[in-house]
Amino acid sequence: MVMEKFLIFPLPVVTGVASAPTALSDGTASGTATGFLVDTTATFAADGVVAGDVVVNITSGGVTTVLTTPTVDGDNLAIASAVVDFFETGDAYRIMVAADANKLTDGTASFTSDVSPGDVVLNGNEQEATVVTVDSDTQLTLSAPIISTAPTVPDADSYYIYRDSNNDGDRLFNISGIATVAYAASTYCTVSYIDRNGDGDLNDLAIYHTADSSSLQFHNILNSAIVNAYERQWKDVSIPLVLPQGMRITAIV
Amino acid sequence: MEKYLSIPVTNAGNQLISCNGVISVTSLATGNVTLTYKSGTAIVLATTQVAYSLRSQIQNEISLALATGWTNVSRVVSVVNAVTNVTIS
Repeated sequence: MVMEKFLIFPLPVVTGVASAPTALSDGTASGTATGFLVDTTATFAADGVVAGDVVVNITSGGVTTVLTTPTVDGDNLAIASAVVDFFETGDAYRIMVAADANKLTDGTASFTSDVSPGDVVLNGNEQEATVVTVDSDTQLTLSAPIISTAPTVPDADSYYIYRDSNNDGDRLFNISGIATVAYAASTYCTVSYIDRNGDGDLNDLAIYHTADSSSLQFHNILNSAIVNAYERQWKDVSIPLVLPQGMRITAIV
Repeated sequence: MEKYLSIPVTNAGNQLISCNGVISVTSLATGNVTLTYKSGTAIVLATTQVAYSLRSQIQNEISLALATGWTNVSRVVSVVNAVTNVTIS
């Protein structure tokens, strides 16, 4: 008798690439000055930046607003935050129109049927926000400005939406007949099965996840979960994979 | 009843290697060790073994693992020769 066992993987209910909002301005801080964003190459005035626009420190995740409308390019941009070194040299930033900053727009989505307030949104830069309102089929309002089409690096237009309360994205992952589980990189592992597919090719699946916060973190979690599943009695067929806070599975390919 | 060897792999942590469905464990006196399964799938442990040392150890560990109770799913192996990489084909 083959004893089938499954892990339950919490996958996103919706994934996509946002088509908006677009940043007014973006770049990298070239210096530090408390109360200012320093970027000697920026063209804040020409970009149309005004007081009240939202300023996102992409590197740290910090959010503030523009304090004073710039009148000429080349000056430091006054920001509302008085935190010392809110921007450090090398921090990436983007500036958004306040009304757009917390939006997620995707012209190909069906948010009204697929998404609910409270769902968690992850961007490609591994920052999270929650869905506050579903505005339409193609637009969400989020709790934080994590989505933008620019800059393209780090990736803030790819998005993954999870339903933590009752995750409709839960997917059974068969762990019977696994030949090996290989660490591939800090963002994915590969599971290979003993049995081959109908074409005689190797059966394997890559599991993509947010980056390990410690060496081999997801690989070790998965190995332990597989072993623990088989240490349980035969009636425990499907066992949820428990991930540490902040870790998400983004895809199984 | 699933059984695995947990084998340390250089810079890749401990990797689970299935003990189920193995039809052979082969190698030359020096060089890599290959586990071949009934399906034709093969796992190659890259190593620099001496005189069949790792092959013998893997064979013994598979036998020991399969002889344990069902709740002993994974058997950690302290390999006699470092395994530097694992490939499957």
